[in-house]
Amino acid sequence: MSLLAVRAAAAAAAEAANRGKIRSRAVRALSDRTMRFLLFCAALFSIVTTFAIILVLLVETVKFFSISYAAPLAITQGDTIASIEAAHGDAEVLAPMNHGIWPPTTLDPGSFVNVPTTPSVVDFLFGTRWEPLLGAERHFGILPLVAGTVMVTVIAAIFAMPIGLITAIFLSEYARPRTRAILKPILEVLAGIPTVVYGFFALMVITPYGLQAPSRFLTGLMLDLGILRPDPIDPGPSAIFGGFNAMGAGLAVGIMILPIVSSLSEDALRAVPRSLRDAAYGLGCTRFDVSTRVVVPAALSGITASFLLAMARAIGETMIVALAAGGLAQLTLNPADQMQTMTAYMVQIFLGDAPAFSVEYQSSFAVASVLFVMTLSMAVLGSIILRRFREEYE
Amino acid sequence: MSRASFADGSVTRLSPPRRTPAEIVASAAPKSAARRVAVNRAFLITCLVCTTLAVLVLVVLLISIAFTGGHWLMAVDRVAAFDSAWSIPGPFGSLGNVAAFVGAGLVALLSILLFAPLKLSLRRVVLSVFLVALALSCWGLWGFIRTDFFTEFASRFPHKAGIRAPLWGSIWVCAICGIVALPIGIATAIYLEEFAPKNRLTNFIRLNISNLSGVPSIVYGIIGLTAFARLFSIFGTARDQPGFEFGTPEQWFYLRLPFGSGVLAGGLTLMLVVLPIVIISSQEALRAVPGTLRQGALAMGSTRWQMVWRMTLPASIPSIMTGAILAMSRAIGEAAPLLVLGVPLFMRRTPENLMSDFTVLPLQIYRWAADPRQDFRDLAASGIIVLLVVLLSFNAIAIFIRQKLQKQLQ
Amino acid sequence: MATFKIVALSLFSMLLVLSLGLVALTAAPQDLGKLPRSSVRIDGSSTVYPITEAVAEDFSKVAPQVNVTIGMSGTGGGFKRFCVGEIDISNASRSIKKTEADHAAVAKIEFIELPIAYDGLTIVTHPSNTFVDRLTVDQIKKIFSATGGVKTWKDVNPAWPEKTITVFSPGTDSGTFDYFREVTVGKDGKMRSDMTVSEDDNVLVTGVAGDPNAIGFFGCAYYFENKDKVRAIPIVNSKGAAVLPSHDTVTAGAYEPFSRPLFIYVNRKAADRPEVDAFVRFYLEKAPKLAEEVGYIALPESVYGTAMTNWKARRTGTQFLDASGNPVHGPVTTTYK
Repeated sequence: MSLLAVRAAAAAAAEAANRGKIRSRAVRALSDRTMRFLLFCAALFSIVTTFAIILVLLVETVKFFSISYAAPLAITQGDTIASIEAAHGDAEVLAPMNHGIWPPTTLDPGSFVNVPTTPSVVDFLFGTRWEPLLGAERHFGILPLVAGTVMVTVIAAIFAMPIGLITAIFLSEYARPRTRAILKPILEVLAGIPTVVYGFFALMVITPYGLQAPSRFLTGLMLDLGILRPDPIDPGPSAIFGGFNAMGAGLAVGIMILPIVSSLSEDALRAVPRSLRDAAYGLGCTRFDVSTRVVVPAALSGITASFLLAMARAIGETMIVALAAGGLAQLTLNPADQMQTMTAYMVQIFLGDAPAFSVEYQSSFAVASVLFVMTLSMAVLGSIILRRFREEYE
Repeated sequence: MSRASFADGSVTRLSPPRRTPAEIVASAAPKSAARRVAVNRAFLITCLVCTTLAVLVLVVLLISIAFTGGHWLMAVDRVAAFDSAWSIPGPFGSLGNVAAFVGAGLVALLSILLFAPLKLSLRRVVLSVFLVALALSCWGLWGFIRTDFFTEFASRFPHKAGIRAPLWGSIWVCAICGIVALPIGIATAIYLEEFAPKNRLTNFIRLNISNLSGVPSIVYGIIGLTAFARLFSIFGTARDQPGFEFGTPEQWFYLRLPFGSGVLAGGLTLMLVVLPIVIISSQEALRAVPGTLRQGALAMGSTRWQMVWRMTLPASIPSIMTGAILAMSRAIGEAAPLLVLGVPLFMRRTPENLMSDFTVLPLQIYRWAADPRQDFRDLAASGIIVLLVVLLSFNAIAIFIRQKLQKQLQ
Repeated sequence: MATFKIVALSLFSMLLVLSLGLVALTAAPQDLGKLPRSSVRIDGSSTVYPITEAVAEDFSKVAPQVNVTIGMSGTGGGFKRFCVGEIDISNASRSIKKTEADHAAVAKIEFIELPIAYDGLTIVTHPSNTFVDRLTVDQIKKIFSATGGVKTWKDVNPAWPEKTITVFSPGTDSGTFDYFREVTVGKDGKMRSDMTVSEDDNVLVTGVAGDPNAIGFFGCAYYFENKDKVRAIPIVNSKGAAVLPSHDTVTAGAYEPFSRPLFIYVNRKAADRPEVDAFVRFYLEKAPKLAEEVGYIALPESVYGTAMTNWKARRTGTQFLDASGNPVHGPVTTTYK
């Protein structure tokens, strides 16, 4: 190695000499300093990007909370136009609903007027109805969208984490080098497939053949065996899962993050020094004992970091859920229902479902902020765990 | 916490391990032998099942897509004739067509053998056979492929639809993305590995980069929309009154401020997505260059920059290329950020200048997949086949370069 | 190293050949027309989208140097862009509203109104749903309004099963939505809020096709294209007959109240550009045939004649709003002159 170094260094020096241009020390120092500065600017670009993300999301979210839109307010006994206007910050009361004449001569209790309202932060963060586009009232409670995201992520995690971890253990502890050489590229291929393809797969293969067909088979079986009573109107076997459902999308997201979990966990497992393993083998442990009691606990911080990173990726996944999970934002625990995730809602808005610069349009930025905070905290948590709890054995 | 000092003056903190090695090994103290062996065997079976499941998923994915999408890519009449008769006129006669299928089988087998460790002479033989088989299969298969799919635009008739506009859109956008992302990414990696002093700013930059790699791509789309397409609304929003123009629409470098949702804005948005990947893989490439090489150059009197430019960078270029190829394959497959940019639904035109509207292959697949008619879903599968072929060849090249390098370094 | 070079070289040359072949295929010389290299920007209703798409596709075969781009932001979304001058033509599945006409006037944008086809707005359900054999307008109102309180099929008709209804609807920016709301719950009525909403009618078709308890509505072209996936519900008209949408029932006026005309609105200033003029003339010539092909119903020949006359005369303003700003209903032949 050192011979190589000397040879290479000598070649560089000789090349400079042959060019007849051994530059003066000052010139070299200047070019060194210039390049250093340029490279520093390039490195700053990443900081600029982060600041740009935070700034843009912050500005647009603030805009969201300050746009006023017309929300109905029920009229109770004793309300007058003046009192309503005073109560709502002197804002002008807009046209009433269910009345034909304006200005109204009487305000009947039980009817409604529209008052300008701005979305409130508390309602946004803790509200349970997300109905920004339709309906008698507009609701901007983000919990249904968060529930959709969490449901899809949890299904993906339940699928990907055990299989990914076991695959990683297999690759690092059990597999021969030849098997590794074949399997690793296969997993990398899985990692490189675009997410649109997984969305298509969820819609066309997972839902009809993986979920609906087995459900029909099982319910048909249960009907035949008498476990299920047949429905009087629709007595055949039921598919249980609708065309859009959270389960199919969740499984597709799980397939997508499987290679992330397995390759990062495998890196963490291989970083554990051989001496630990050898000592355990020397005591007569089987491979299983070594893997589960020695290697995995030693690499636990890396494995946890890989789980968190994979979950961050799953939370931010867009195309799969846009194609397969559905468009109804509802707070439900049933994975057979369709659920709208945060990213799917943003796609719906940006594909033109709302006029530009209106409150619905701005709501997608607010949702993006929440999404960003969620993924950022997972990534930061992952790096903290990695740095703090990593076991060093040197 | 204890500190460890190294020869070059850098200091790092070591936290004591949570358990001593003796404790770890002792906790794995053996119990009944037969039970442990049985447990071990059961776990091995579990491992095999899991790994097979992972591989099976990939196989099912590829087969289902091939089945649904295959028929739009193939010239239907020729395939039908092949079903009925074993020899049909192809570009080079029936021999070529038979060789196509033989070659395809050989390709599959040999590509597996390729990644296994073999003796050098045997390897050369295997490689030559692989190349011949590949050439023959391409030769023969070419007669089957329906080239209309690549030359036609999207249409309301499935049998007339093609991917011409998204194909060229993808090429333009990914070219711009690569031209912008690679220099910035590699420069950042060089700075972080070679020049950065060990202070808080450097740690902050590193933290930033690892956080940026976890940001969802749709958020990058929002940034691209605000910062590149609208340029923070400095120049107004109406499309027909550009704040500033440079060149004419006939020239490819026509610039208009604000950029609008053209290929330039799309390429820059993808650059944001791809940059963290390029940086991280370039960092690893630079780290793999042995420190002795660097020390040698410095000892001979070169400046740091000279050392990097003439020594480290050339040595690490193959690894950097691998990382760049993988980053580009990610860029080709991204659809979400470009969706946010506002790509039009119906495009019967390939991009002509930097401000042209465009569409990309993943987005066209998305539109076709969302159409409830089965023919369009099959078209989506055909588009996916094209996309996957491009991506898999990129991946194969990258893996190959990396395997080659591992041999060299050993 | 030698093998590496061989392999790299051969892979590279294969890629080169492939890409050259691709370039040769796609860079074929194009037809030159008299029109300049230009673009026509269209956006708006997803109902009208299939017709405009068909026209644009045929037009681009004749004049490939004109780049026609079409978006699908919904009728309302299209009008919002139209009224600030962002697009040249707005696809609309309803006539322009008073507020939108006022916005255009404020922005000094004049528009030319052209009806181009009939649509029989279809209400659909899943094919396995056989018990819903007909619906009256009152029942539809009950299902879709915010105050109807309908959660299951039983709430609509006690003979039907107690299964929860999943509702699919176009979004608020959709002209189909506006028209449907006006006909069922009234202009000021409110629709229920727990519907799956999308501007893209394809999503609605997929949704209804995948859920046995679904109900949804969209333009009839989407129904005819997907007859194997969804089932249309016959609507009881004012004469008491339960009618399915079809070419004959819509033309004869038997399918009511959900027959409606579809429009395009063209920016008056854009009309001066030769490519826009050529495109609109092509549209009016081909609309009868292409509308039928796509699944809608062609208007009577006389209406297309009137439209062409109005276009040539560049007649601006809308004839579908009365003096107080309310939309005018009735046969297109009487309203549009």
